[in-house]
Amino acid sequence: MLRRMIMPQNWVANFDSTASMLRATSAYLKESSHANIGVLPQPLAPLVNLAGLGINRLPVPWREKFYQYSGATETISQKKLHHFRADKLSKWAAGLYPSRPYPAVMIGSSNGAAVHLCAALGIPWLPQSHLIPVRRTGVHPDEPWQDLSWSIEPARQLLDANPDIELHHMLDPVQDLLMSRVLAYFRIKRLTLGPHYEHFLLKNLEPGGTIYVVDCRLKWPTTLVSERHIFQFGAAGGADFKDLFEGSERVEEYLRRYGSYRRRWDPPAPDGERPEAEWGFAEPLRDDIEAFAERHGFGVRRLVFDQPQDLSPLVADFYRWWYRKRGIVANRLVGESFLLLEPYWMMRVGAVPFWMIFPTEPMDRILEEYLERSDPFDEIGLMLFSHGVESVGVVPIERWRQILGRARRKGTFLGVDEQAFPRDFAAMSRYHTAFPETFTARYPLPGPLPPWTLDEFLAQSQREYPVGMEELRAGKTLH
Amino acid sequence: MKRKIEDCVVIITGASSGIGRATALMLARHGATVVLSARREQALRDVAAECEQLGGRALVIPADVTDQEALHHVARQAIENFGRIDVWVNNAAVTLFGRLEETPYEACRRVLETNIFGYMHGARAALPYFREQGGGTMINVSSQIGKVGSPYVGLYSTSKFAVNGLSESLRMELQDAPGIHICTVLAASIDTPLFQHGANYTGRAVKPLDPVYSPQQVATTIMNLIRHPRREVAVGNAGRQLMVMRTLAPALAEKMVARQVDRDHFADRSAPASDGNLFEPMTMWNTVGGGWQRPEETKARKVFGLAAAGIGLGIAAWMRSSRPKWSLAGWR
Repeated sequence: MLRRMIMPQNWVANFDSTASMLRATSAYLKESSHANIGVLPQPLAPLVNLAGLGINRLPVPWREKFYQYSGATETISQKKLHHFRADKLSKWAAGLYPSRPYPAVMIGSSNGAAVHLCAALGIPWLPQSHLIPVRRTGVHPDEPWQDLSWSIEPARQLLDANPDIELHHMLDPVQDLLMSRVLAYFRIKRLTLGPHYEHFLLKNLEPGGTIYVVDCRLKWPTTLVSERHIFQFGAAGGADFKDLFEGSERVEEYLRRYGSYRRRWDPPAPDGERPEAEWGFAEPLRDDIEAFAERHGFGVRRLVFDQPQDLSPLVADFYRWWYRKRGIVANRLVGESFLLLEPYWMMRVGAVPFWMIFPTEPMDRILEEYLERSDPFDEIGLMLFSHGVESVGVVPIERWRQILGRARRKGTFLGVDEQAFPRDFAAMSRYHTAFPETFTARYPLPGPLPPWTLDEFLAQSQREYPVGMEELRAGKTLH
Repeated sequence: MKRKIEDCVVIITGASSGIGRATALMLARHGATVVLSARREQALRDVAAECEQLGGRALVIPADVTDQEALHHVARQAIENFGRIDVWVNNAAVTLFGRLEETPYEACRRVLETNIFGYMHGARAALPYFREQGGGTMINVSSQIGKVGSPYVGLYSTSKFAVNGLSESLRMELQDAPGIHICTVLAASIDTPLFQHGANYTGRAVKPLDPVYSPQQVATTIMNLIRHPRREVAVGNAGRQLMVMRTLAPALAEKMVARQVDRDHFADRSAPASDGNLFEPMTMWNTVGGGWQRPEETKARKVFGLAAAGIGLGIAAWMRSSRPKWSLAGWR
């Protein structure tokens, strides 16, 4: 009942990065902020903040249980999987956006920097991937074989009912240790646009408008279980392939710390590299987009990059360039992580966004490098997502504090309970209230930039970015 | 929230004389930091010295408000010296007496450039800092003839209508920044050297319209606006009544103003054509007052005010004592 009250969209996992990014983008296009990661209404923020701080004061095992069970409330029974239709999720995603003419639309990989790009251009983003958290018990998070065996039947039910998706079943005992005890991470990727995305594009994309394909080339060694069923062990964020597949000292230490009987994992042998479950782009969708664009006279451009964080320096510099053109000082940077995003307040306080996939290695180094090669920032804010585990590769709070020290005037955590990190569950709502409290500057929401502004920026930029922009089919709105 | 004057950094344009000077001195007396700007550097230095004697801090930055870059420089200097700008008082203005068709074109332009562009330049210089700070107050010193037109000073009146429009529009534009306030002061006829500084192409010597109010009254209003920002405040009752009349009976008001200006705005002597301080600042008349307010007039206004207040209180007391009483049982 409670779940129905606060989460009316069945099948939508609120702790999923895709859901949060979608809600952040759509909230911005509706000129509102992204409070409580879009799950609860903004007026409840003070209450949620209080509750979060209360939870942060609980003993660690209780806090972990709370986190685990909050995830469990969002799970779907495997018995209902044959009812699941990916189109419902697509309908929900497209329905979040205001219906009006857009010169361009982004489709593809989930990416926090792309959310800010969409906000600047005033255009929607439609995701390729979604998470379906499937309830399961009796599987140990350190036993990937058990998880794989368990998944075969539910995966078959899901895929039989949804011929236009690919299932990337993911088990990450590093970052998802707590959740993996109660649920399986079924990440699905659309292989075609489907009727709802097509309808949205035909209704809202201006004639000759451009579809940007957000194409993150992040690959992962995976195992093909059956047709369209892929098993992925581990995930981007902290641990590397060697840690996951061969073991290491830090893995041993981590497993010991969390009371596991294992000292290394024994995952199924990968038989190839495939798009990473959460961030990578599956190519068949691009073919479908191109064919659709051909039929309806739209342009197609591909925004391609290897790592999710590759887009972040480009978007940060783009914002700074744009702010300066608007006469804004642009000496304020806010580092976001994972699903903690706030495009509305970013724009209102004139802050440069720098999105990090997780507050884990090597994001600290990447952010530091960016700060080193940029003009100094007077103020730096950091929003750190807590996944509840002292996992392999999680960057300690002292290191983040050190990075904040690079601000010329003020470096501040935004809504982070420094004592509680990385078990700071209040951060999920406090970032939103901390943002306007910390930064007093107030700028109006600007009008959307024409899509060609991005080309203009790239043409005059002195920097090289590891991001490609390919025109696959010429549209009208860019020329 | 009430703002403390002693914590404020206030930029004042047209600070060398009149309302600007009176405001600077009053704020300095309350411990404010004032950034003084006008064309006349020496006059500003004199004001700065007075401000410091009174206990305030003062910084002199000469600038012509018609030069946008010059006002950006003023803002930058204030930030470099004090780290912030709390209040920007757009006050610098010039005036011109003459029929429109008999006035040199360049003189017309100069009035509009100073009084409209000068305020616009001030707003453009201050607002980026206000946005960045998340707060600040802009006080545009306007006039009651920015609400009711006036003959012979049509361009001045036009410029003040524009200032009121600019202020109103900015207030609307800044709805998204609740910490930023735009206030308009609608001054009546004020005893300042404006009338000595004004260009005159009428052939007749000019004087302010009666009644004349003191510049300190405007300065007090500005100080109150710094403490408690309000959208529009009028200084001087005579003009306030005129504004009401203009709203209720515009045709009648126009006729009355035309007659009154023709009769009262000029002295009974001729005057040669003069550009006044339009193009070059005058070395004379660096004072707060213009010597127009007669002491007996001030005294008479005080007596009249007290008498009016006494009559008002008397009427109120009588109404109270004779008010019918209401009880649950009905009228009794």
